Amino acid sequence: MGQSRLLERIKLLLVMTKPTQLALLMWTMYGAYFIGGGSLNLKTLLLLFLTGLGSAGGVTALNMYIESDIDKIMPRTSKRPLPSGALSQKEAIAGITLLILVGTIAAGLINKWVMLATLIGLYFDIIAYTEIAKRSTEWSLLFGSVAGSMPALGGWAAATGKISLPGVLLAGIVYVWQPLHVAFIHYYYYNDYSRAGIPTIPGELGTGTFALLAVFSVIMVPLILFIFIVFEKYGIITLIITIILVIKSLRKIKLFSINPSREAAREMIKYASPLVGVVFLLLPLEHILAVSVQLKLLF
Amino acid sequence: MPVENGKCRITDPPCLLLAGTGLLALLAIVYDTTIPFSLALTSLIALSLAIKILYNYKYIVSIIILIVGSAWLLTFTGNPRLGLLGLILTYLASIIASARAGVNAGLAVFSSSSVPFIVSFPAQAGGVWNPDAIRLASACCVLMAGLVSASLSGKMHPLSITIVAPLVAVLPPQAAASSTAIAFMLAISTAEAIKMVGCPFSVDSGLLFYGTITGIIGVLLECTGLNVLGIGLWATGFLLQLAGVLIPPLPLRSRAS
Repeated sequence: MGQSRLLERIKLLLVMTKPTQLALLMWTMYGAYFIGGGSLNLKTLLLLFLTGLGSAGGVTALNMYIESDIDKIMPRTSKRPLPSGALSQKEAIAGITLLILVGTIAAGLINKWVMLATLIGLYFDIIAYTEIAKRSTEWSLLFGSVAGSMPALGGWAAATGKISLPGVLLAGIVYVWQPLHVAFIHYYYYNDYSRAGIPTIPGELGTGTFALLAVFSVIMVPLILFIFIVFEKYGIITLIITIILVIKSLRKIKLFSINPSREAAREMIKYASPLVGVVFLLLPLEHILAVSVQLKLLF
Repeated sequence: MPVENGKCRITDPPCLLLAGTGLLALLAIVYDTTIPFSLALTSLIALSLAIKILYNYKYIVSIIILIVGSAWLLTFTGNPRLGLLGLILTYLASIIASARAGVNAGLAVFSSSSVPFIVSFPAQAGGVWNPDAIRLASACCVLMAGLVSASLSGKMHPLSITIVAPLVAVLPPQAAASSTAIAFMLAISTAEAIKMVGCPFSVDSGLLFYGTITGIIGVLLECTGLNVLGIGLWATGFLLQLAGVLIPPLPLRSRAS
C-alpha cells in the first residue's frame, strides 16, 4: 500500500470517528479532568487524548461499521466511507480494532478506573445500544447516552484516581442532556430514520410526549449541577448561566410543541448543543478560582 | 476412512478412536493433576480433529459434558452444589437457545464464558485455586468460546482453536484442564444448539477474529503481570467477540419498504 493510499485510509477512518461529536466528548472528558483537579502533566493529557480518540472515536467507528447496512438506506449517511465503498469492511475493522486497542491501553496506563469507564462505554454503546436496542425500541438512546457520559466519568477518574459521586454527577449531566440532543436530531432526520425502520421517540410517541421529555431532560441539567455544587461548594456562576440557557431552551421547546417543524427542531439542536459545553467550560474555571481563593486564604 | 458426502459417521472406527483419544486425554488431566501440560494440547488437537472429521458435534459433546463435567465437578469445586448449578445453567442456556427461535447467538459465547466464572467461585472459596489462576482460566474460556464460535460460523478453520492451547500451558494443571474442557464443550454445545434453530443475528468473522486477537493479547499481558491492561484488553476482546455474533438484522419496516 502506497503512503498516500495509507494516509487516505487513515483519513477515512478518522471520518468514521465523527470528529465533531468526538470533539464534544473530548471536551467533557478534559472538562471533568480539570474539574477533578487534574494537573497539566503532559503525559496524562496525552494519554487522555489517546483514550478519548481510541475509545470514544473507536466505538463510534465500530458503531458505523455495524450499521453500514442502515447507512446505505439513509440518504444522509449513504456517503459515509463504508456504504460508499471508499473504505472496505476489512480495512475498516482492522483500523477500528487498532483504535480501540490504543484507547484501552491508554486508559489502562492512566488507572484502572479510567479503564472501567472506557469498558462501560464500549459495552453500552456497542452491545446494548447499537446491536440490541437501536433497531427494536425508541428508548435505545437511553443506553447510548450511558456510553456518551463515560468520557466525563473517565476524565474525573483520571484526575482523582477514583470514581466518586461528583464524577458520577458530572457524567449524569451529560447523560440527561444527550437524549434531548439526539431526539431532536431524530426529529430533524425523521424521514431517513423512518425509511430505515429505526424507531425514534418523536416518531413513536408523538410530538406532545416528545416535548415533555425534552422539558424533563433540560430541567435535569441544572438540577444535577445543583447537587454537584452542594457537594463541591463551587459552581454557582455556572449554575446561573446554565439556568439562563435552560429557560431559553424551554421557550424554544414551547415554540416547537406549538408548531413542530424541521426548522424548529434544528433551532433546538443549535440551542441544546452548547448547554453541556458551557457547563464543562465554566466549571473547570470556577474550580481553578475556588482553589486559588483557598490558597490565598491559606497564605 | 469411510466418508459419506464428505462426512463421517460417529460409529465409524476412526472417528470413535479419535474422539476416544481426546476424551481419555481430558479425563486423564482432570483426574491426575501431575500429568504434563502436553496432554492438554494433545487432547485439544484430538478433539478438534474429531470434530473436523465428524462434522457433528452433538454426540461427542453430550458424552463429554456428562463425563468430564461430573469429574470436574467432584474434583475441583469446594461446593459441588454450586458447581452443579453452573452446569445446570449452561444446559438451560442451551435449552433456551434450542427452544426459542430468535434467541441470539451471543448467548452461546456469553454463557460459555460466564459460567466458568460462576463455577470458579466455590473453588476459590475452597482455596483450591488462586485468583490469578481463575482469571486466566476464565480468559482462556472466553478465547476458546470465541474461536469455536468463529469456526462454527464457517469463517475460520476449526483447527484454529489449537492456537490457544499453548496459552493453557501457563496455567496450573487444574485450571488448564478444567478451563480447556469446560470452555470447549460449552461453546460447542451452545453454538450447536443455535445452529439447529437458526438465529436472527448474523456473524461478523472480522469482529470475531480481531476480538480473539485482542483477547489473546490481554491474556499474554496478564501472564506478564500487567493485570489492569490484561483484564482491560481481555474484556475488550470479549466485547468484540460478542459484538461479532450479535450483528442485528435490518428492522422489519425497513425490509418491508
